[in-house]
Amino acid sequence: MLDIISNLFQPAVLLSTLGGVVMGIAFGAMPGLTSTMGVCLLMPLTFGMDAAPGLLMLIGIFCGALYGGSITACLINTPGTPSAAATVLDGYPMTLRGEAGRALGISTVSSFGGGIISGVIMILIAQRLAMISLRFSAPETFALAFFGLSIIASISGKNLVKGLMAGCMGILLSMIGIDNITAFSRFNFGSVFLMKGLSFIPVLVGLFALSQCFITCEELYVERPKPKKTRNPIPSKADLKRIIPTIIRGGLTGTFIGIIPGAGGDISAFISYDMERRFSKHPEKFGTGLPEAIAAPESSNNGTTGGALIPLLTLGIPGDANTAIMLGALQMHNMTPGPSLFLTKLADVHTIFAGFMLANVFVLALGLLGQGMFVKIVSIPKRILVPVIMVMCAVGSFSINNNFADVLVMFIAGVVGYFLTKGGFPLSPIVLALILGQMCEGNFRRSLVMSKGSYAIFFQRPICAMFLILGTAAIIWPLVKGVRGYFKEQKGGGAAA
Amino acid sequence: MKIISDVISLIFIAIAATFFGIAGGFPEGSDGATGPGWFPRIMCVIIIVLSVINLVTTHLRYRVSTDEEKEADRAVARRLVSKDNTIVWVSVVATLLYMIGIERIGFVVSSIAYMLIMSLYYKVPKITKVGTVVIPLAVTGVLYYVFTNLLHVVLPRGILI
Amino acid sequence: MKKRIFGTFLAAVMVFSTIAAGAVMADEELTPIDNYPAKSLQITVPPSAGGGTDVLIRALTPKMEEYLGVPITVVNKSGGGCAIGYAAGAEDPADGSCITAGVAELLGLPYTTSFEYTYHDFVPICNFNSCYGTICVPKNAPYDTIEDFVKYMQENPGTRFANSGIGGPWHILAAEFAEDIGAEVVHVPCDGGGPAATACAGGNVEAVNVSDAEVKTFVDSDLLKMLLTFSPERLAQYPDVPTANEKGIRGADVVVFRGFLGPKDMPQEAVDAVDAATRYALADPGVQEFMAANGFTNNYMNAEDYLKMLDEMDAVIADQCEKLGLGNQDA
Repeated sequence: MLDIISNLFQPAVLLSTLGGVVMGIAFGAMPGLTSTMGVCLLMPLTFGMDAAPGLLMLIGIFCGALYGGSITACLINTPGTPSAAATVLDGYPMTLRGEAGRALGISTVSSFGGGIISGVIMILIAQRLAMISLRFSAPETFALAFFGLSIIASISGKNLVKGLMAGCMGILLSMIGIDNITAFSRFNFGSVFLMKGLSFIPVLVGLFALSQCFITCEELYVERPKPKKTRNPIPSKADLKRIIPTIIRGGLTGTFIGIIPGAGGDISAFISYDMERRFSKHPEKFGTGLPEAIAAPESSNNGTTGGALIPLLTLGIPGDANTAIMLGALQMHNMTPGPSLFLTKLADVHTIFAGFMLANVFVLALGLLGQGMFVKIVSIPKRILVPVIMVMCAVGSFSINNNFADVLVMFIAGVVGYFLTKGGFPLSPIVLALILGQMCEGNFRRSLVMSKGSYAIFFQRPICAMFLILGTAAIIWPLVKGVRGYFKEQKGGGAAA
Repeated sequence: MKIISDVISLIFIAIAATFFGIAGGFPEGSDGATGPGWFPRIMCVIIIVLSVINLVTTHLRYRVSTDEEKEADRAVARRLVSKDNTIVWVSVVATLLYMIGIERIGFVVSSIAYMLIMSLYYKVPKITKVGTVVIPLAVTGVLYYVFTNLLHVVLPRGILI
Repeated sequence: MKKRIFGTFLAAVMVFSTIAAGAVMADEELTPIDNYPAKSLQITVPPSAGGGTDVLIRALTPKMEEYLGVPITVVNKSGGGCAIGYAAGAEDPADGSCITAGVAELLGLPYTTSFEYTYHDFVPICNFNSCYGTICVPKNAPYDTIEDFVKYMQENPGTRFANSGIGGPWHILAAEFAEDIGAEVVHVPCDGGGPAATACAGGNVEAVNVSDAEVKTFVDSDLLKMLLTFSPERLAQYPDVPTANEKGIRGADVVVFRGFLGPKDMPQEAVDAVDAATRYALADPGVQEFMAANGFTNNYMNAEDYLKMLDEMDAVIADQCEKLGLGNQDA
């Protein structure tokens, strides 16, 4: 125990972890820059370091970025990372009420809570849990994606039909590009650029950030309500009491989703938001700025950090793109992941565990200390902020793949998003569908290749069958409710538009 | 709202129909799996059905709504083409020109020019007049430095930087 | 049969060239130059950021920079099964300011999609690393040797092989292996080598044939057992695993290579300089330590050998793509 502490409290280790978290928050907050990019670009830097500081820097970026995305999501309705797309739903309405500080405080505490929960699980039962990731093959991944898509109904807001339309269009658009099962290029209209499909980040940035800028232009001279002065950045006792059960649920869900290869913070945030809405006594208030609706996605996306590290360290299976890069860094420092790692390099593993906890403490500290500064973004006059955000959207979209066509995709998505908002269409379903569409379809067909054409494969496997049943129920239930509600409204001569 | 929503529904139907037609030409599936066109075609059918439902329900709701509600509904669409909305259209066009400028002229010059022109057009108040010049320069400078030197991303260059 | 001889020959050439390259490096003192024809060098990396190719090139660049005396930037242009990167790389200015990382995916693209660029649109510079396929099965599988597994495959048509992507080198390798032993297999395309190995470790498919680097952690964790390697020599880490050449099995000619390609009209002077810079970087002790730690072997090949390998592998891919029905298809 003592040597772990002495390992951890070396200035180099502390500094690199802190540096990683700061970089991560900055990367996360800027629309278009993602944690994967940060981890990837800083990886060569860690080659020259010792194992502990190098790895903890990468872990710091990973944890910081998932939190950072929520800052811009809450303050200017623009998710900095895909994982914060669900935070927008309630975070921004709260800011509009003048409670920007409260929204940020909740998201900071929730991110910290989610991270710590996943860390505790990782430390206590990592080796036993790791086997879950082996149980997830094509049929299970398909079922999870299907379940994820069923959430479209719950994030559609007031108009279910429009939400479903937007979601289905998102799925259709995710089919563009080379098909992973037969190498056939679909709907590319002869363009090499479209062969890779629509790149997700530029579409996200366009739909949220750019279209939000156009909407802001309409009321450019009406300033946002000044954020109420908050002396204490920590959420109030009443808020804490409300969100702690949510954080625990979110953190656990996030950890579970994080373990599954190929599923990360974006999916888990939506799933937690949906779960929270179903458990809530007043689901109709979701979308108006509820504290637990911010806490759920934020605790959940940070929960995936510890979750993703579990199969990485115990089996050498990376749970997402970030941990795939970390796998390289681990091998670089002669720490080949696997069960043997826990036997031969136990001290190093413990240092990583302790450092992971430390990174989350830094997230909490930086989030609370920086809150006053972040909130000031809201007070910047819109006419100064709008052109700056537009420039950042352009540079962020470009740097994802160093491709100018991505900037044009971002612009088109922005204009489309503006009109869709005007027509009363929610935008989140499109984002969710773009994340999950290809994952759902590709794994469905891959399962059928595996089973040589037999559909029984989806029902013989318990995890797969469970998610399919949950997903089907989630789709059918609101439809039944919606149809019943519509007829009731008609009978009562309801005149609501 | 209703008119915009109707137009969007019709566009959705058109897109779905086009994609449905294209997907018809995709090869059959092999090894027991469905072909690349199967799933997109199902999605197209669902989109068309949902769009029709949307057209019908918005129409039904609109018919039973009060005159005030009808007026408020029409106002949303009318605003798009009104004089008040010029600022939005100008912003859209300016952004498009800026993005083309990034590639043709170069990131640094077009970003400074874009931010400068936009803040003049948006009539930034007098107190921040210094800011009108300083902010574009500072933002562009910081972005350029961070991307080129720290992240090693080559930002686009045209005839100028 | 002809192909098998050629494969053996090629393997021999590669082994020889590796040794020869080592010898050259030991003899030749490379001193940094100051007359590179361009002011800077941009390396386009078509495979995804953070992948093996990207990481290795980023490890090589500091030393190459030192040799060439000009700044080098690594630019990731990933997506579309590398199509985006190669389309951009082929159109880069041919003044020595831009080169592209050449990997095996480039060869398959023109056959599986309507991609119009081939390796003939580039000038080969040199190869610096190659990796070879293996055949791995789940730990609890009833066969312990490659002979038993081959027998199982022949008796049970429809054995499932996971590969790292449709039309990719490991897909072609599995097809060639199956054809060689006369068995009918089902190819399960996964999104990369890691997921393919996971699918096999979880018992969802019977075998996986991705590279040793991609299955290493699974083999070390006792989740997979390696029955065969397609490398020219036995792998240092798994000395008990026989090679394909020892067993007389075809497939050693399908390799995943990593090299540099230049735009078609790149001046010879620049080609030679980049080639020398690569050798300079490969001779650096720090780089060597990095490569050893990450399981990257140094398979240096000069432009001539590199082109020969491209030609040979292109023929195999053309043949197998036709047999697999991965014809030139498009919407």
